[in-house]
Amino acid sequence: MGFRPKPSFFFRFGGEAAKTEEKEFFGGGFASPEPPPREYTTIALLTNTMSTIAAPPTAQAYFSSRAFRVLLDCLARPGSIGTLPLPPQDDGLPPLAATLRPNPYAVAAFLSLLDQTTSMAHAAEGLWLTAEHPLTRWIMLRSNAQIGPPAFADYVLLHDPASAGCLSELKQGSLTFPEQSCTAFLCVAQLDACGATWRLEGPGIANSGSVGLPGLTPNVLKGIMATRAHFPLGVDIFCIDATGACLGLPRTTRIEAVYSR
Amino acid sequence: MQQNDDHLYTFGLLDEDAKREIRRSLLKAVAIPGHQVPFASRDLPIARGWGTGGLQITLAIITPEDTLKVIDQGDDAGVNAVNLRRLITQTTGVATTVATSEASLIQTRHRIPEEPLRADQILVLQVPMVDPLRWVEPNLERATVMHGEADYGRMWVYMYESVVRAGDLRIASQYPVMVNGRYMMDTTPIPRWDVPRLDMAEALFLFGAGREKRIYAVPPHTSVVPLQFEDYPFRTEYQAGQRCVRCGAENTFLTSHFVAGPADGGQWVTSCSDTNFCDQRLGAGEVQP
Ligand SMILES: [Zn+2]
Repeated sequence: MGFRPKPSFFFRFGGEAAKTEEKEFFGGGFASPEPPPREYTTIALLTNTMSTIAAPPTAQAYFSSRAFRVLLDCLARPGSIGTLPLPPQDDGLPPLAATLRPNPYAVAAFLSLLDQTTSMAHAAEGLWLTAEHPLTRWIMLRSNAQIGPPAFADYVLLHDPASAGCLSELKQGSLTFPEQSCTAFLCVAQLDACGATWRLEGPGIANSGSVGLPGLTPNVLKGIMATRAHFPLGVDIFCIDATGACLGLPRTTRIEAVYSR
Repeated sequence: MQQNDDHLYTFGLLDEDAKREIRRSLLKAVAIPGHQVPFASRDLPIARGWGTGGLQITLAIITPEDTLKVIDQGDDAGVNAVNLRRLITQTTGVATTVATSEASLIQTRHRIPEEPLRADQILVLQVPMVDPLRWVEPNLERATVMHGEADYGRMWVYMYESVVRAGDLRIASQYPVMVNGRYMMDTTPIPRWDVPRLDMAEALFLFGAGREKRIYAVPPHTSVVPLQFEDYPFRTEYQAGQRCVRCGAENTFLTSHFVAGPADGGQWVTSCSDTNFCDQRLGAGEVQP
């Protein structure tokens, strides 16, 4: 089940070099926890004469790694707006309804975390979408993720702010396993790094930060607050707008509505 | 770097399923600062306990655009660093550097570079022992429950008793801290010198323990406070009058070396453990990239 090194990995460089390589990796060079005494000489250690023995990432793998770094950075720095990369292919993303199209950035970022070990659910206009919905099938086909009852879903995609009320139904983990919580992707119309709809405080934020979400109704903040009354339990949320701008709201972020207008 | 036609491995060695699992755990770790998130540690072509936890994090998050620095005890030329760097560059082809300021991703054992890290840098730490509660609760499952309930009373008592008995905090290089005022976290194996530098930092710190299959994180701008007592405050290893024999720095973390001499047989000297920092101060920092 785990990764098994192919034996040939250590014998690609031929002769003595190959033996040294093997010895170092399997313990020769690692035998002592103390580093060898260091000579006071100039070191020329980064001269990498060996060739790369791995393939470049596939378009999908490259996208997933780039998207992940944006998600990681956004979650580590709530209030700083990241930009999600364009998905590698948009092979006929099915519409949510006759006139409602899903946010391709959000769908792709959501998809990048899913596989056969995860369960998912998604909602639009405040209603959970069924297993038979074309977009559900599209996501399941590409991820092998299972669609399950929303209360048990590991990852949830909320296609519009009107679905923010669904946040209160999601699992928040337990005291012993707070990581067994749902992560939600919430599509919003627009994120404005210079705006001030919400004031944010908490880990990842120097002093306090703010973010603008033009046209957002108060029900969204109410939905989010319902997921974070019992830290370390909670739901971590990514807000993603139509241009791929991304705001991370880990459960540690304290959010306050700014009533200035 | 030349590409070999005969590619044996996928980019970053781990398969996409393994990377995805680590990435999901990393997001949880960042969202719950200091909390140990389990992950399915994979077998890698190095022995567990030699940095596989940190290595798996690095391989799961690295992109072709990254510039990588790998250090062992602050030293880019340490055996562990050289081997890990070779493994990562051979399986990704990313650029490497010894200059802290040029790196976007730094994998390390023991040290946080002396040079302050920036917001666009990630430090990945290889962790040998994850749970500070192992001193009072060797059973990992029970320790997990204690963390969940913030049940740290026994640990405080243990710390105080060891202070009274040994006159100082005995667990010198395994210094527990409170992260975000909620989770007790081990700072192993970084020296006490580096502990204050985790507090309210600019960079993101990711910790990986391959053997114990745990990932945890300290996000930027997050409080990290050492356990300490009024009568026994936290102290780093700093000693008045300390000095690096190479660059003359008086405010760095030092390591000792035995230098053989022609006449008297040699002597012990101390120099910066962060070799790049020391080299830069010497003005000889242009190590071959
Ligand atoms: Zn020095």
